[in-house]
Amino acid sequence: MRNRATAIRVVVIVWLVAAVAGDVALAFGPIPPGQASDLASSESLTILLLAEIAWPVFSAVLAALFFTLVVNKIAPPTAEVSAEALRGNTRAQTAWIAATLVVVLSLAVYGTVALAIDQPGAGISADAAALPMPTSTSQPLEVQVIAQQWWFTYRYPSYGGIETSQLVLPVNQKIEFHITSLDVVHSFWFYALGVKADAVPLNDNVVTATPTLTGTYRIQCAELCGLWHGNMADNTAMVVSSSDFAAWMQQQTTLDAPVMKYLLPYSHTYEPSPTVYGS
Amino acid sequence: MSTPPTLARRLNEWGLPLGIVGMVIGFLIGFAVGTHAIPYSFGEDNSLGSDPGILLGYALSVVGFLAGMGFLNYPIGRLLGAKRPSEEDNAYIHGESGGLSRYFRMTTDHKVIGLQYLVMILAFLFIGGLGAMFIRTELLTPSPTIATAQSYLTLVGLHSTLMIFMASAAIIGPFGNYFVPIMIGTRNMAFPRLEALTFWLLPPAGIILLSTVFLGGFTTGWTGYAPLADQNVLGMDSYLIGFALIGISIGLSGVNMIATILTMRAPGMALSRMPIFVWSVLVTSFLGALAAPALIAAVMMEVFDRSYQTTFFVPAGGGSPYLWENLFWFFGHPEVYIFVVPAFGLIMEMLPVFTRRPLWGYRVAVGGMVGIGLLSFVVWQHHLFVSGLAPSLRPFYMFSTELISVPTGIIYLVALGTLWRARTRFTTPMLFIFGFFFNFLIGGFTGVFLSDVPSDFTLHASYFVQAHFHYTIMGGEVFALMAAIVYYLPKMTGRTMDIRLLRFQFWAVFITFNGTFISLISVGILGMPRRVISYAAYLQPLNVSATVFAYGLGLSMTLFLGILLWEVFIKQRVAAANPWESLGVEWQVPTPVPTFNFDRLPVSWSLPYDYDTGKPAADFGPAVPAFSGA
Amino acid sequence: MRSRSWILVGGIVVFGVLVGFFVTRFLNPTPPQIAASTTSQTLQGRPVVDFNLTTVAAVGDAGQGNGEHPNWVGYLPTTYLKVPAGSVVHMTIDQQDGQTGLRNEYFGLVRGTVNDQMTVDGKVMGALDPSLAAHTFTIPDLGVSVPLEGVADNAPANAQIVVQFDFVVPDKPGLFRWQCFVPCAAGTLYGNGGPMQTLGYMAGELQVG
Repeated sequence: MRNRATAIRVVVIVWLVAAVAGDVALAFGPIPPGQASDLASSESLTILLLAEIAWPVFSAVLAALFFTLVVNKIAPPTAEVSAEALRGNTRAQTAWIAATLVVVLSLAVYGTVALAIDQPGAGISADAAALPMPTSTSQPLEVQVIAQQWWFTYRYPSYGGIETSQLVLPVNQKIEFHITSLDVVHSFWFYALGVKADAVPLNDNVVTATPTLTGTYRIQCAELCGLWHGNMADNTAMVVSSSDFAAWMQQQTTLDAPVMKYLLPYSHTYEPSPTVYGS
Repeated sequence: MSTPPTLARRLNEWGLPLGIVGMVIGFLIGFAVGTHAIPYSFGEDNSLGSDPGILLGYALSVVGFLAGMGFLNYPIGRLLGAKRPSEEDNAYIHGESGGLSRYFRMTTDHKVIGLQYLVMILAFLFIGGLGAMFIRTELLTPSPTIATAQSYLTLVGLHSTLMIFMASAAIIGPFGNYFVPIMIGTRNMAFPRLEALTFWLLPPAGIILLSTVFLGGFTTGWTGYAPLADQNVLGMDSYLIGFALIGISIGLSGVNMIATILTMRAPGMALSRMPIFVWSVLVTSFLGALAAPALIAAVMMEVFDRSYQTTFFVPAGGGSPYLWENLFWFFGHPEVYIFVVPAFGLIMEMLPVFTRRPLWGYRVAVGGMVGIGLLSFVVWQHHLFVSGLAPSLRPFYMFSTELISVPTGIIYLVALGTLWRARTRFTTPMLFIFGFFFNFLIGGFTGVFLSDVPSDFTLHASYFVQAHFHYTIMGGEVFALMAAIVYYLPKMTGRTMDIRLLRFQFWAVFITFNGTFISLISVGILGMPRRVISYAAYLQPLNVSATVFAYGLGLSMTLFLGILLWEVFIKQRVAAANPWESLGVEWQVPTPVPTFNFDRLPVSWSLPYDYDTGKPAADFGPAVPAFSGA
Repeated sequence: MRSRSWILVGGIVVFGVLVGFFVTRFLNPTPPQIAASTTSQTLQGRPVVDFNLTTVAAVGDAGQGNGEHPNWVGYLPTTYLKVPAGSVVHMTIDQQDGQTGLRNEYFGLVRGTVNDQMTVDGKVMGALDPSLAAHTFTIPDLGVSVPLEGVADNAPANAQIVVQFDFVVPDKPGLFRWQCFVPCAAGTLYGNGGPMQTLGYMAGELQVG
């Protein structure tokens, strides 16, 4: 039995080292989805925390399973020990169930708190009116994402309701995305900002995020929407400084001028027309 | 047969050819009636037919198939005044004449049905797997190469739907049907003809699903989300009818199993003395019987949406896409536990045999599975976290989903307790069992990341989800399936498989499986969405790595099939009567198992895990020879 | 033993049939593409190539299409186009279909063409009244979108509207998909089913280089 005790000690030490090393490595590595917005940073933190808790537990269970394999070779149990009628140890069972419950409860509490603080997705909006132009960066700028088969277009109600096919956002400005669809269910996924929300026809899905890093990013559709679902992605979404944003908005207003008189008044959802079944 | 064959027997004997004829005739009648007699006011033109025509055609083809197979013979015969079938007719239908032909007709012997299921499951697995190989080949490059955007979506839909068909009955179909009556000491299931029906719904479901390619395919994937499903061409109807048939099969088999387990146990076989596998089948059957109706309801609504311009799922008509999502996932979540709970049961059934000691914590294991079953009905909204639906309910569903990891963890607790200080025998099934535990651990932990709402915002609808369910379903259920095939083959067919080849195959499949899906976990974390034919260029190296491993995975799975077919049909190496030295009742009956399972009903039942005392699970009375009958 | 070997052989045959099924039904050889015709002109230092397409209400009427869906709307002769890299494509579209109207009025704007203009029956315009649109020619990845005016309901038979525009294609070779943004697939939900989702009708690919 001395061999067995040593074996247990070795396994526990190896596990401790692996658990600590893994956790430290995780803390240094870039965690998706990155830090490009406050929402993304919060999601990164949640993923990091989950990983930090998951890795030691995962490696412990693996170590235990592996140990039962290996100890057969190092210190094979005698026939008597092996046949011990271990018919269930209430203490061990209670301890395991209690421990897993505690972990699960704390994860759930943390997740709920994170959701409450971020309020990343207020879900379906009850408001009918668009938000006014923000007077400070902490007031939200409303940007509508219109998903249709098979491209996203974007409307900026506080800039006269102009519509564009490229998404440009000012940095450090709180953005309130209102996501809707004109036909089937799509999903707006702005990976770097940590924004993902389904675009459902005649529904307004609201997500709030503040981009914090300028750059060019990818937007893609994350809900199967038909033939060109895989192509409903573009790499030209940009987060720029507020002066660049104003310049871009100026340029878009000029470009959009011929079609402005035809655009529908801004609203959070749009009835599909022509008729639902085409004509 | 001493008397000349009766009409009933002839009709049953020619069941399969008649069934195929019935299928064709039924389809033609249904198609004709649906296209011409039912007014179809849609403007859409499809030169291949109309939705009501195709739907009615499929429905009547299934009726025709079942009629040809002989399922309607008894009721119609009685209505026409025929006498009850004679003893000989019943014996024939029960497959007592033996031989290979009883596997190709409607047979009411649960053992025959179990083997039929096994063949069908393997067929779905390998056809779906072939589809997966094509998908991975296409994904070698970020833009379309061997497939077009259109054929790719149908390919994805076929692969996933076939695999769902496979997984929904992979363990409970072959091994539940074959062994549950034996394990509880009865001669057959409660409703044998119903059992045959649940099997014979699968071949038409598969054929109907595969026929989608002749109707233009379907672009919704296996989840069939609503407005897009309304928009699809005729091929969508194949998916709808095929899936409905599977739902009916799951529901009916659930009812059958519940009735059998609760009412037909041998005297003295209390619920607390049931093998753990039978408990898992009981829990699964409740899940199936209660969840399948939601699917069937959803499919019916979709059928009406497509045929008659009802607007159940069309917002402009007052409906909602959320309705389909909720109904589908109300079924879909218990469905995945239907996949995995029998696998848990089977693994826990095998562990005592290879550790030579009682199952540690039998009661807590039962409690764990019952807990999984109950909780599985209140977690489905975690598929809808980003849909915008009921955000105030997200914390509750996050909690319930995370909670379900507690009973699942109990399974690991029981396994560890059984393995602790045990003199484990490293047989080939044991290898697959360890593979199961490793893979399902990864699958379970990736699930925790998905259950947490903030992290789900990043990970939902990405390849991370795909890797999660492949780890749990393929790494879990399919590995358990392979373990079960290796374990039970000596009992079901009397053959055994080459150990060295199997061990090589295990390591091949384990390494390639993990290589493939770890690549896909990474690709998902980096932001690749599901079901796309083109992706961002920086994701190509990981996709190439996944494809290369996937080719290896396909080859190792084919190797498994090859070994299986070779040993059973060609080499025919005879197995010992009880090669694993199990105390289970199913191993104490002779091979081949007698027609009515027991020559004499066993008494004095106890849990079959008393490896410490060697006490048998039941008393069979005077010894019965190992090989009874040719 | 004998019958079992036959079953095995049967199984291998079935496998072969299945592989054949997947290969023939899902793998597609490059469909016939039409190439742009070169001209001697240049614009902005790039060679100009010509393309001529026709949009019809039913592909079968013109006697074309492979016969599978004669009643579907479509671009003729095909939607698989090939252009040389770095060129300027001068596209002429003979629009013969009736007016349907745009679901998203924004696509009434001409985008991504030279000077952001199109020529409709000789008249130069920058945008079209969305309710008059029959189809659009849109390459989202290149930012090109041109609405195509529909033939009025009371116009004589065989009437058509000729739309012309120029757009620049990238210097690097690539495959770009293009589609129509008018929900013109009559009878399907939201008008986006059927031909809108079938390559060769209202969905296409532009091969550059």
